[in-house]
Amino acid sequence: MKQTKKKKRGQWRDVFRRLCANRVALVSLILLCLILLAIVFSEQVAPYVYNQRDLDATFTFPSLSHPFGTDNLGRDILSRVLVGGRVSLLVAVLSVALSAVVGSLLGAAAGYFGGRCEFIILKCTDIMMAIPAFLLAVTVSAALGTGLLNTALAVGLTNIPRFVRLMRAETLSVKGNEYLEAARACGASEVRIILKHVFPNALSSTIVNVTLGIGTAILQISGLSFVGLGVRPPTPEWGSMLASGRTYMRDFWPMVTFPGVAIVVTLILFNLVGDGLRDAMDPKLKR
Amino acid sequence: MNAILEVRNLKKNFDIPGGTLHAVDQISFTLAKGKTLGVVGESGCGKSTLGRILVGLLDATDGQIIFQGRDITRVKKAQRKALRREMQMIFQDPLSSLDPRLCTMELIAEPLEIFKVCPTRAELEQRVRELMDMVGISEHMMYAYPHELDGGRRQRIGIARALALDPAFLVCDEPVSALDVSIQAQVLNLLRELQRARGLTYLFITHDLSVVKHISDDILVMYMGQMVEEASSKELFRTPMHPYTQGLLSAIPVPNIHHKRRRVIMEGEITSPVNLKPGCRFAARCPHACNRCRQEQPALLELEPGHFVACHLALELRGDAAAYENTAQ
Amino acid sequence: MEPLLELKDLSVKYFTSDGTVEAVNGISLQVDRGETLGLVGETGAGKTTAALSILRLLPDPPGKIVGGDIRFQGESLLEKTEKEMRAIRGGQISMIFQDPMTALNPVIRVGEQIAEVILLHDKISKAEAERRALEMLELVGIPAERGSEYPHQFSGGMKQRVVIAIALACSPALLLADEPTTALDVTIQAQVLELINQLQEKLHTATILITHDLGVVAETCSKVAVMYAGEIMESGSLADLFDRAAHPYTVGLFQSIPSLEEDVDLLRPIPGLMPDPTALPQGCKFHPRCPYADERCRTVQPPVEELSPGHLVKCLRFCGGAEQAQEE
Repeated sequence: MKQTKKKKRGQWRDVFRRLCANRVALVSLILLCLILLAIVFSEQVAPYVYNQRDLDATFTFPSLSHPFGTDNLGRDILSRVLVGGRVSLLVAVLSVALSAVVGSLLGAAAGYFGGRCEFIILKCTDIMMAIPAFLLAVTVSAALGTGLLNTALAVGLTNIPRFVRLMRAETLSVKGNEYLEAARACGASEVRIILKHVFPNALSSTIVNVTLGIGTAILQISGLSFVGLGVRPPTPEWGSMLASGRTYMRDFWPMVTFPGVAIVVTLILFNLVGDGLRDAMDPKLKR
Repeated sequence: MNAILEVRNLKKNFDIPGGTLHAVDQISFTLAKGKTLGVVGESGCGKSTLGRILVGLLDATDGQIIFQGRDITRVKKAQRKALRREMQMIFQDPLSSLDPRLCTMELIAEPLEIFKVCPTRAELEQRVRELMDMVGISEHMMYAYPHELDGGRRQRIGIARALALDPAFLVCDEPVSALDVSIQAQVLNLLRELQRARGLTYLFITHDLSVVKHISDDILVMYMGQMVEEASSKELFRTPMHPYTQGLLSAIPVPNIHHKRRRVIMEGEITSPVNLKPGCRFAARCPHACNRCRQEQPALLELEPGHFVACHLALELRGDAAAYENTAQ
Repeated sequence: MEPLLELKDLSVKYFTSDGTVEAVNGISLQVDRGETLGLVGETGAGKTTAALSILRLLPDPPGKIVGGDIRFQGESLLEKTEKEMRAIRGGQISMIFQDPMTALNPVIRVGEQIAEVILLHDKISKAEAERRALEMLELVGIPAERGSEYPHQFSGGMKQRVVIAIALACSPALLLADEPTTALDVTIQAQVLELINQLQEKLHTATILITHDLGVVAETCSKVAVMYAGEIMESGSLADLFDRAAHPYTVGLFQSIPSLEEDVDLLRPIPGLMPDPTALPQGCKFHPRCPYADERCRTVQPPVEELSPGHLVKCLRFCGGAEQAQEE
């Protein structure tokens, strides 16, 4: 009796346990969490107000008072990188959420129902995939205009196809399993089968793809801002900071280096965590 | 006879590239309540398709299925769902027929939840516990996942799921083929005990002849979608009349070194019943085939009371069967 | 005369993150030239691991041969270099796997696949190799002209014949057949077993036939070894095992099979389950499921006892007064 009262062990606990066994993934996860915390609480953590100008101290190199130096208007680069990360991450999360939800639904529908539905969805994604992703983002962004939401929309739209493809493949492989038929034989309705059996089983690779996708989205957003289509200055954003530092690149390196490093480090960490998550979620890889 | 299931001229065709696949062709039988009908045949003979049509996972192309006195061949969705309480299925591979993300409790509870049998959570848990006890899974496995269990326990979960709604009729599709011998024997005993205790009727699909002989009252032998022979289990093993059945029986490796039987090695292999030529489907592999066999399809005839055979030469071959019988002993 | 293959106290372990799997625990076996040994056991008994260790094909990591020796034609296989092993694999020892569907390369013609093996091991011209490949096809009962077809054009039984042709192409002295007929239908299984028997007579290849089916053993083998939890519980001639089975596990296996000859109401299965290979029981590995187990079985590892010449049993019941125990 005592044992049956034992709470159901979630699969996520197992996943987490396996993730922790992977040292690289664990360290990346901890670092990533630290960075995310710093970014979320950037107002509190940042040593200066991000848009506070100090025209007496422009272009100072890293020192104790300004660890990352100051920019052309005397603003503290560390504070701007932290606050700028907030915009980058927010937009990245929004855009990935958009592409993951829309893409997964379309992909699941294509995989489960097949036939004409699948044909139309797949052809549309094929067309989208034929256009280089960044070009598409630039076009959409140019049409919609700049700003936080529009950028999220532009990046989100361009990433839909990869989620469609992935979810369709996963759904197809789940569909081959006998447990769907077993559920049908129990009297389960199509809706129940999709929600309870197909989705949870097909979702794990999408979750991995989300972590990887956030990294890509940050890069794309920064790219858009860099060409002046994403988030506009004075709102700090890693890409736009790179863009404004570009002019001074030859004489004053901190303005481009630190936002650039921030992008690279976050991207790598997201990818490492994503890889670790993929290994942890695949019980077949268990050794 | 107190028939629970009657199948008349059941047919299922699949349209495939290059023609029509006659997966199930003109199958007829009657199954009495509380009995077991074994369906035997090689892979691709249509035995699994037959089982799936009976429980409504596939629609029949033609023919009639009469279950508890009602024609259920083509029923509406709501009726189909109601029928599921009466007829259930046990699948071959318990690992692929159980959702890997659900634990024992959730798996067994699923049919109960769908039919809202238990109004409260406590009752649901109580019922799941009863079912687990019935199929012999100990209570501390309630929250274990399929991959943590062995094949025998997984199949027990499959059986508990099938029994959850208290059905009258079960289609068992190769329920022990994926299990080791010692575990297979445990599951076979469980199935027999459950049948006795609850008056269940089984349609038992398998390719393993020693298993089918053990569990069945009657046996139906299928070849390329058609029935070639049907008889009581004893009768079929004593005097198999169809040359295919004879070949099948003689092909079983018997774990007895003094039992040297005359072996009928059948040439060739079973092919798919696509775009059929006239004549007996077994003619190409049959050691006795004559011209008539290649031109005219044999009808299923009752040659002895309760013993049906579809072979032109059955009567002539009976001498042969008797010879077979002698060597078998 | 020296046996063709001799396993001496072979032990294999898998070192995994979930613990050490003791897959094979000190098995000793002998196979003479031209003889067929049936290695019987249930899933997880260590049959396949034993066969893979003979070819040194264990996945490493996690698998490791931790003790014992494998002697083939008087030489230790464990001391060979990887290059020497490659010459032996497919040349002097070859293996047939369970699933013929995945054992063939789908994009290479069947004849070429056989010729490839011959070319790897014999220094002959390509034309000569192809001629011999077609001979092999004929030998396993496939018309030579089908050599230019691709695997998907063959049925399951035919594919297994091709796999057998590849395995026998270099006339190996020893063939390891891992459940060669399990994936096939009964009538096809009968054909393939017949073929293996015929080839055995013709080529005098020694064979280790791994199977879970005692019926298959009865029809093809001359000697049998029964494995349980990585140990050989009983071994002997066909008659020793089938007429005078001594070990409770062997007896239980026979009783679990539904008989074709007599009608029984309920079968007599072995109670319980295979032990967890990462936590094998103390003493006799079979004691938790054994109807005769007593206090000693829980602690004492049973020694190998020779009941009659060649009939070996690992059970405490037969230690000392073997005849007396058998009469019970």
